[in-house]
Amino acid sequence: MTKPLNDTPKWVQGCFVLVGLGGLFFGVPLVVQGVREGSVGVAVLGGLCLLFTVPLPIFFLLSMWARSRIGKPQIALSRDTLGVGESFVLEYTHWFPRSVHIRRVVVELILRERVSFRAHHHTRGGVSHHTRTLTHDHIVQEIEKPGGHFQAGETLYHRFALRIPPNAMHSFAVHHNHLLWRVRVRLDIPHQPDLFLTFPLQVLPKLVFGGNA
Amino acid sequence: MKKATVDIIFLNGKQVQGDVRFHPGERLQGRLTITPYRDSQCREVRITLRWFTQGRGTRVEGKVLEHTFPLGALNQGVPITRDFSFTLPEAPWSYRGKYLHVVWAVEVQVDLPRARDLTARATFILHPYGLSETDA
Repeated sequence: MTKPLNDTPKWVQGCFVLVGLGGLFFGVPLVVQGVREGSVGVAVLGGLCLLFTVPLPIFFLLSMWARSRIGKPQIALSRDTLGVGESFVLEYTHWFPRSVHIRRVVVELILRERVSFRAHHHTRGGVSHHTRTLTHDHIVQEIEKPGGHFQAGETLYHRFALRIPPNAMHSFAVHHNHLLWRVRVRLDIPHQPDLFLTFPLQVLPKLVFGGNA
Repeated sequence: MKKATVDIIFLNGKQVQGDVRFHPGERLQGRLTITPYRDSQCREVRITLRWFTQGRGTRVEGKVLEHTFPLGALNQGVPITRDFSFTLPEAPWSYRGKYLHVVWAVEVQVDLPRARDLTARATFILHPYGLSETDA
């Protein structure tokens, strides 16, 4: 079965943590110095530095903490190579090591457009070029199931029936133009960042009716 | 001044909301009509089946099949017609999205000596859905 992917790459999370540490490194001394010397400007500058840098790593640390508390769900797809129009099943099984409250489990079938192109900018020194990437997610199907309160050792199980629409496009990838099918599972936990798990699907250019639903 | 008009029509396929749809693997049949506005010579006519991407991404195109044939003299006001056919491939299917479109087309290029080539393009949809009685 396919390997789950986190929506935010690890290196991005690492960058956010570094930015947060940098903000702490510069922001805290500025605030302390501003308060000691009675300089409002320096204190405000330090405060802004903390405000714009520290929340990001806190958010990711909270996410990691939430994830470690609830454990890892077992997600099984009946198949990850499909035809257009084909049905499939996602089974969600989650054993909780601690007592936890889950608001809902949301499963989204997504067709992601991702295109890259060379962008040109006119500057004083001439024309600068850089590669831009645009992404758009079409949420093709969304199924929401209720959560509840679970004691340590209890299990949450849901079965989601999904279908690639028969008038949809197959997976497509050619020279920086991509159409990618994904299943995204979102676990909504009160007072904590949502937990996301994403699974790639390969949709072949063949029209199929029926499947494993 | 334009020397002729070039028109392409599809002889089969299914008309759906102003588009002509074909099933992957189907045989596409079409007709090319060249109507000259004055007497001239034509070196050759090239008919190409291709797909290409449109939208925000880097444009990519694939030439699938090509027919070339000589034509000779073009007489003012006398239309010339040629039928052509292509067996369509299985993929990629047509797609219209936010940043990316995949477009299928038949293109005609009329090579005229000492003049700019005449060109014409007719687009169509390549997708199997909605073309069969069993589609649901």
